[in-house]
Amino acid sequence: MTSIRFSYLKLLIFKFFKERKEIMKRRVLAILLTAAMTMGMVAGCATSGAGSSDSGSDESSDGEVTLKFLNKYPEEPYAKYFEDAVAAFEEENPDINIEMENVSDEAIKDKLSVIASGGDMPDIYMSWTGERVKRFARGEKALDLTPYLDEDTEWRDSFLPAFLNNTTVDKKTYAIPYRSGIMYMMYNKEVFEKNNIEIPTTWDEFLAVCEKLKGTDVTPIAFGNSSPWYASWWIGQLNAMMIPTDIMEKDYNPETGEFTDESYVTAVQTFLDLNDKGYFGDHVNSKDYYQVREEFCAGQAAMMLDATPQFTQYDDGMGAENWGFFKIPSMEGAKGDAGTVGGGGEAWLVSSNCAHPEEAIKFLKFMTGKEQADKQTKEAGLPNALVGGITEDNATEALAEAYKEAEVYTNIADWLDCAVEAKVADQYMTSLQEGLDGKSAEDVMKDVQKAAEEVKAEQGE
Amino acid sequence: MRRKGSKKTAIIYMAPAMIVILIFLYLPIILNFMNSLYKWGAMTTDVSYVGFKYYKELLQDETIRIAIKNNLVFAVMSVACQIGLSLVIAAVLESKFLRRWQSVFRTIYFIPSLLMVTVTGITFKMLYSPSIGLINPLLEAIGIDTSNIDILGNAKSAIFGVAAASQWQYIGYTVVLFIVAMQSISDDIYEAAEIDGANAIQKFFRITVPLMKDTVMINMIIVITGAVRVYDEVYVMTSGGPGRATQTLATYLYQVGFKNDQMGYASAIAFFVFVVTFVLGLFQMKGYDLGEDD
Repeated sequence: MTSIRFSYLKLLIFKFFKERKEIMKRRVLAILLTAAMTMGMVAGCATSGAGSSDSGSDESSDGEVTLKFLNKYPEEPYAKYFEDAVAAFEEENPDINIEMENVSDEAIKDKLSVIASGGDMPDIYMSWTGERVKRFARGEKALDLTPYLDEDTEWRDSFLPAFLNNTTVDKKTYAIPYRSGIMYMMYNKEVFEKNNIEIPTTWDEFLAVCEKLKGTDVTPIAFGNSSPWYASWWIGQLNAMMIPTDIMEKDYNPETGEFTDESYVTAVQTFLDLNDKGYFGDHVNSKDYYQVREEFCAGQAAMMLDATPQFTQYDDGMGAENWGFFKIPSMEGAKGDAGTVGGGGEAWLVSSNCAHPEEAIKFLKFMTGKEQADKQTKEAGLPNALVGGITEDNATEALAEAYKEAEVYTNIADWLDCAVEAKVADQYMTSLQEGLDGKSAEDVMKDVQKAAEEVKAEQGE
Repeated sequence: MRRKGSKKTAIIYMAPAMIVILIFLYLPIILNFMNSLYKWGAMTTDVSYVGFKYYKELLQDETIRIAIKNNLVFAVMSVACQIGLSLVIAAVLESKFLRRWQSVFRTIYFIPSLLMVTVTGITFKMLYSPSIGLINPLLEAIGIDTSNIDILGNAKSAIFGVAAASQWQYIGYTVVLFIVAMQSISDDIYEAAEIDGANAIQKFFRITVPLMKDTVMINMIIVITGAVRVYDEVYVMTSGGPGRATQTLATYLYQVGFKNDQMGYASAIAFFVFVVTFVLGLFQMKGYDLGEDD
């Protein structure tokens, strides 16, 4: 297409030149053409650059507002729920147009970083509660939503405090939680029955169960770490159980983090022991979470650490009657807060350069309202983050029970990879992978301490 | 016709191309270098000047050493397979007794290079997997104890596993390039050599290889620069793991920049990669010169 156009242009120019009239005219034209071409090219790149600086939300002539919405559910049954929800909102508000883009779980972490560096933030985007929200807040990429929440206290008070707290920095709330997750241990009922195993309530009992199962043909615990975030779930949970709250709070803060407490080594050692004793099965570093979940659903493993949003996956994978869950066994004498459980939420943020925050808030209110939240849990199986939001009316029996049992927990420890600064989290996960390959717990923590020190130094600069 | 030779005209006609090259090629290099002197991130708003701190850090960073080692492994394996082995394959396919079947083999060898790296990566990841893969059962069938073999999960073997997948993919590509070059060698030379009593191996080393020097040289440089920049294979198969065992310069750069949000350090790594490829580029030019001498 362009080449045809160009040769046509050339032909025109040649024709013009052939006539050989006024030299000046030609020269002027040549200069003009060159200038035009150059300008066109420069302008071409300039506009593509400029396009990224405004957040892309434009008010078209008829007053319709378009909001870009980055979400992370491209797979069914989630995708359909969100599409329907967006459609319902648009029907209610014909003057607001929502452009939703769905990117999968692992990919959205990279995508958010990349678009944050390019400046082209979508108007509304998802992130995990904890550090992953806080870093957007620190980088001034997220809008402070506190005024909107203060304005509508009913809305503010509808959320589970633990999850709203994890999106709050210095009393300013930057994100609206829409999905909650609490960690439980899944187990295969048939395997437990066949081996006469009672549900363990303490860590020692849990280890005894693992030891007993090791002799059978099933793997005691389904675990795979080729995508290293799964180990951070385990460590996040173990840290919450084994490390005094005040020390953990200090270390999880990038400005004061040191990770020098002995109990961190103990927590890593506890985790590595599970691998060394063979409870995780073989070759954990070449399997990932999804693969071991398949193995668990196929009955090849007895237990698996997972969280409430994935409950429906087990219903689909092995039938609701074939699996159960129990609370993470408590550890006697551990120094951590027994009322804390590992978990985490997902939340929506509004970009700081969103041109239509009012409309964005309207959309978030709609999505997290009682009616939609019910639907979200019922249709997509994603537990909402509302107080009393999970009941037997909208959730499966297991999910409702899980939330009832969770009432004893007072605090949610975010998944470790979302709770600590990105570089520390990355070092933690990298070193844990090496730990599963033979590195000692002390050396793992030494790596983490070094990373934390660097981060701390950088924060101070 | 004074105008034809005038410098002004030349400048005017060259201006668009020059400006484009300056803006899109040289400016980013300079900007990148300047970025590497600052501490900045995509998520943070504060920017501060740190001078050459990141270059000092780079020299001491153990992960950089691992990455360079891995890039070297890639380079050596790529040269051995995509140059050495594929020359041999090309010569065999060009030999008289196989020429009839050449197109069949050529197609078979060439197909992998048409696949996306993601596809190859995921396929090999599955093949290597000790629990669902094919490699371990095969090894077991020939009597090797595989209980400790976990190609991608083991820090020592992972990079070789990744590099091998890449060889499988691209070997056919260079084979085809070499066959084309071989076909341009006149049969008369081979006939003359045969009359002189040369055997197949002598013909290969004395005639084929020297006459293809240019093609081999250029391919070698392409393969080596490719090995310095390797990213997607690693990202798909191990994303740098287990631990840091398969980190390459490019994957480490990405991780530092976009995962850890240390854009300044990432820029320093990028500049380092630029210097390495630039030096290789000088060799490349030398390679072309050699061709002109003959």
